[in-house]
Amino acid sequence: MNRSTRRAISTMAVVGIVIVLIIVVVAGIYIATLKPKSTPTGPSVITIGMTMPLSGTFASDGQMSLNGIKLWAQDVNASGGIPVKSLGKSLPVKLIYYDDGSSASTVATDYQTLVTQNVSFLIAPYSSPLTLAAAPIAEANHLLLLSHGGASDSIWAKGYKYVVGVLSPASQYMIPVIDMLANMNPKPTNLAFFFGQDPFSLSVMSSVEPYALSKGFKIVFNQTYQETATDFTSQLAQLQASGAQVLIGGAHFTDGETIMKNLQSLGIHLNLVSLLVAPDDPHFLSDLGSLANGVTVPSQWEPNLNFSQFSPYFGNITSGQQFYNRFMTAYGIAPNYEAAEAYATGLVLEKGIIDSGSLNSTVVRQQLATENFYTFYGHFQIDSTGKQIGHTMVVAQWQSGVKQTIWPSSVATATPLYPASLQMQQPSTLSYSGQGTTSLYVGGVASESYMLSQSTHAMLAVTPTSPDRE
Amino acid sequence: MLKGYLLVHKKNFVRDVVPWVGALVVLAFAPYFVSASLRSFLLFLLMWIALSQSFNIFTGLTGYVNFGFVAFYGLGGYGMTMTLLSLNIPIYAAMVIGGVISSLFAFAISWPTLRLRGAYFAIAMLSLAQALFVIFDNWNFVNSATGYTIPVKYYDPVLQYYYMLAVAAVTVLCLYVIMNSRLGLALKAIKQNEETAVSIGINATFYKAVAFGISAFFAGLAGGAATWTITIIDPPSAFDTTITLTAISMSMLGGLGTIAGPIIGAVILYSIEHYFGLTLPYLHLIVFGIIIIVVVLLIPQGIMGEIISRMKKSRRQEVGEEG
Repeated sequence: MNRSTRRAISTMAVVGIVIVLIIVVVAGIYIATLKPKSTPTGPSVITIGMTMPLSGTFASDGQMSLNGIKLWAQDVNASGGIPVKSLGKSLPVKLIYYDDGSSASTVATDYQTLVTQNVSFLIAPYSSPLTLAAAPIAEANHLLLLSHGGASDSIWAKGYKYVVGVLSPASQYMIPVIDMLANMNPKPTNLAFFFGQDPFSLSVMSSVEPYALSKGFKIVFNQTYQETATDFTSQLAQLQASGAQVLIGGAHFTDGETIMKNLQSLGIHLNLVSLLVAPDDPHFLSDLGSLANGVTVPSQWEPNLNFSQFSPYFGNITSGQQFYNRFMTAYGIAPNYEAAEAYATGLVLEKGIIDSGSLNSTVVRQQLATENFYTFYGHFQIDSTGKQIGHTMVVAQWQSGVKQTIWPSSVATATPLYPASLQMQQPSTLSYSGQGTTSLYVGGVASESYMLSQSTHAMLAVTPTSPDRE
Repeated sequence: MLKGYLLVHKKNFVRDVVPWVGALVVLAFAPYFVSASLRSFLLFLLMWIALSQSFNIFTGLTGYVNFGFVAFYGLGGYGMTMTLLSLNIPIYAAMVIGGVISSLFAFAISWPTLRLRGAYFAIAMLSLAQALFVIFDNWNFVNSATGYTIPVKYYDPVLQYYYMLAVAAVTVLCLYVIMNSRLGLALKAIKQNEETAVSIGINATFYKAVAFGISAFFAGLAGGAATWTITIIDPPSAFDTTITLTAISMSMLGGLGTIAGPIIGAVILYSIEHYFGLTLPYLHLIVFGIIIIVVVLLIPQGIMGEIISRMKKSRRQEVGEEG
């Protein structure tokens, strides 16, 4: 009797394992077979599939992008859906999205899942590597893949026919900064390049380098850095010794802030600092306070931009400010350009569907190749590879706690603070010690003198915790 | 002589082989009757089976915990991609070259690292994988941080599935062969007491290096097949420590040093992660973490380890009663 009791324990364990395995297998089959059936398909709804990095490295960017797309879907559905000529009626939009955890292998599996769920179109996840992982699946299944947050030029160099970019590619990021510097008086001569060692930043660097040389600049310092490093002082000390007047570089958020703090601790004097990505985030100001002042960032979009005077214009949102307010009301946070480009991606798809009158990805892709229009996000026009060539980057600069658009001058809301006299002081003496009055020239036209008084900074000292643009 | 090396003692062939062949047949026909998404799920499940099993080949049999395991995966992926792109040879040949590169690397580093034991070995391997990441991130020969993309002409999800199935099957078969060979016995002796094993004439360094190289070869194959499927490889994805940790979690959950253990671990953990990743976009990592904590607290030996020890215990008690 004893023996059977003991055996029963071991058998119980085996039975337990078998039950767990059965549950897992059944659950797997359930999601794989039942989910497509539960998704409304056919002509009653336009199904759009995507993954977003809602956890992992790109979580904050992914969340911003997702909110942008969801807001577009909400707006479209509130206005009665998208009119589809071939069906003779308007259809609402349905988004299917999964969290890819910033992992390329999850993107690969999830897009395989999406293509079995009768999606008509695909939207790419945020970031270049994840977009590159989704692209072959879209291509093989002849589904349009709209990229809103994958900027690397390599995406459009692989011969994919179904990948369409809504944002400016990486090679365009620092071009307007060089243009702006070339128009400065006095024009700086010595530039320092200090970019992160990642595909996006390297792509930016490889295009800005020849462009800067062609504009007559001298590159006196040219190094890359490991984004995960927590200190760049030894490299920045070399930069200081090189006699550079302007620093152009960066990669993403954390490293950008670290560069600023290190510049401050070394007391390096520069006429201008232009970093990728980081300064665009409102946290850049709240984290760094007055240290953020004068720092510039190439931006895909800023809320103070207005394209409504251009035609043909598409979309219910007529200005950047309107989008800013709409996003603010919906989510309680300020949108950055990631949110704007995601919303604009929805607009591009909507325009493609309306003008082609079809829900067929191939037809809509062909339609997009011929499109040439403006939205609140700017110009849309693609080349034969699907790469964005219409949209242009702008340069933004933190000025007295407000992010101003400073270049190109046709859309600028303020004149560039240059030389920004980024006197990187010790935190104990956090006050602006610029040259008081600086003559500024934009596009060869002298503009008003710019003066920052101590009182402006007294104000700034209070604002950092609330990074409000207004 | 080879036979002597391979098969020390014969086991019940039918009991040992039939379930495996059955599973293999089902998986081989799966692409014909499952959806594309389930096939894709199975493909990555097979990748995790191959990875946790190749991890098991070294760590499970020797007891040395390899925290730099992802280095083998990454080198295999890079080796496969670079030979495919530069030599334009068939994928399977490129994959084997990737595996061989990974294996050669393992042999090269086995000389210094396998002299270390316990935590020192773990730390050395962890740093080695990190060092590889930094080197690859800055080395223009491997396209530094940009990495490589597999051209779309190689995209074939069904073929990718069969390659991954083959890699997983061969890895499991190899573990079975090793466990029933003199190599397996030697490793078992080393695992239990290395000094004693050496004192009775077992060349511990040699056997450990062989197991290390075999483990690296299969991890490299899996890395190559995975890279082909994911289509991109760059240093952060190729040398991602999460891959090491996932392989450790899977094989420990199922039971290190057993054949079925890492497979069970991979099936459970990957299914859970995949299922909750789809249904709970924000909470899946928490759910995954809680499950791992609960399992580790309740069955630290892993599922198969627990079953085996219970079976042994009841057999011992039976024998004691009868004796």
